[in-house]
Amino acid sequence: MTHTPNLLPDRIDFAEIHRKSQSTRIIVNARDFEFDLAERAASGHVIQGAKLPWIKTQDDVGLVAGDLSIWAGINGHGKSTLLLQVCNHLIAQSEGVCIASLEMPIIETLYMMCCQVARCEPSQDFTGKFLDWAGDKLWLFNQRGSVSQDAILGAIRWSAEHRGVKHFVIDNLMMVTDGESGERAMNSQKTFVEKLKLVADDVQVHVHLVHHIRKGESEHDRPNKFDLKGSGAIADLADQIFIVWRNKKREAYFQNPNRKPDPELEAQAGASLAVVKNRRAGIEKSYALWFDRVSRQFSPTSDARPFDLTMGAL
Amino acid sequence: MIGYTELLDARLNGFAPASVWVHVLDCEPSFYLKRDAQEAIANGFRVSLLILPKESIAALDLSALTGLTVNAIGQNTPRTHAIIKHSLRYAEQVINDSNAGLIILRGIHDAHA
Repeated sequence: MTHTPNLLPDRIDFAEIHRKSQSTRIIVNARDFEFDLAERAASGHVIQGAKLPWIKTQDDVGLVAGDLSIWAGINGHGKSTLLLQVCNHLIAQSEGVCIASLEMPIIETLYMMCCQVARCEPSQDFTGKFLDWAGDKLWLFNQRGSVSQDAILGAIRWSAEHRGVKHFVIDNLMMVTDGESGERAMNSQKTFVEKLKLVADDVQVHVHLVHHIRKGESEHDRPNKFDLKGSGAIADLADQIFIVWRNKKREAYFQNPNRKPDPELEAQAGASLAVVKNRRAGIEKSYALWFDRVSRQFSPTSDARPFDLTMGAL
Repeated sequence: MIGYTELLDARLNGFAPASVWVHVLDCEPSFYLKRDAQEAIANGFRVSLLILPKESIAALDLSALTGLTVNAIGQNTPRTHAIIKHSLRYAEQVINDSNAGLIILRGIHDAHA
């Protein structure tokens, strides 16, 4: 360290004091938190953090800075699509978002988000309006395919510090590798998720991690948190776990022009978003949703009508 | 807390500022405000710490303020008082520069004692 004009040689041996006081700094008394506890009590049981797009979830789930959410589901059940819808809603709440879509080209990610905001196939004119609306709140990790763990951790830190990003999406965990395979890869994933938690807390970013489900017997069965691929520690480390599931049986029924009426199947939800772990609020629930193919939106109502994700801005 | 790592680094290397300005913020700081605090020591400006609105005051490690004069500034009076109380465990003295008042409080760690 060089001597700068605002610094003087220290009058005390700070390094020695610092070394000796290590334990007293780590073990603190509960009474020290008098002010913080009173401040926390003032806000009561209010759900903290950014909201999900569906009103029915907003009293139960909050995406708090420094937390880690896992978005899991079977292949093709709409994890990424649903998460992009959440991202659009986060932008509407003025929360900066950075998306590392490692399997999908950036332009497809943007097009899907644009469809969701437009609530239909967007015109060329609308794409400009969409980008103006997203403005400096939407950032993209410009790399596809497998990336190193350090690259992702560095990107989270940099985007938070230099671009004001509050939510970092990693789609998905399988694409973040450090070259290991087999059991070592499982341990490596666990270590990576631990590091993600530390970085998220350090730079106060909410990390959204997309993860796969183990192959089950049928995609008609709803998965749960024990079906997450890889080490069980991943689920233990997460603050929130969401499971996205589409009712493919119902979709196949409606696609069949020669179907026999089945009122029971027709009455079922088209999809569900299950909150199977919720460390903040403790509320674990499944929310019925309906997927609209044209707008690529998951709608909260059975008529699958897409809704305005921009909260009136567009 | 922004600017703390740099201050701790200076102190561990045997240097100390004449005083530290602790800003208790009501909203998230801009990129430039953050960078100014982080680079204040390297640039020769006054040494500042930014306390972010969502940070738990008691959980903050303020040991790098040991034996220093601290100027505390903030609009949120209860929160500023909490940071002053916490700083007094380490600082030689804390000057409350908030609002119109100027109050000097002597801390328990007095380098002259």
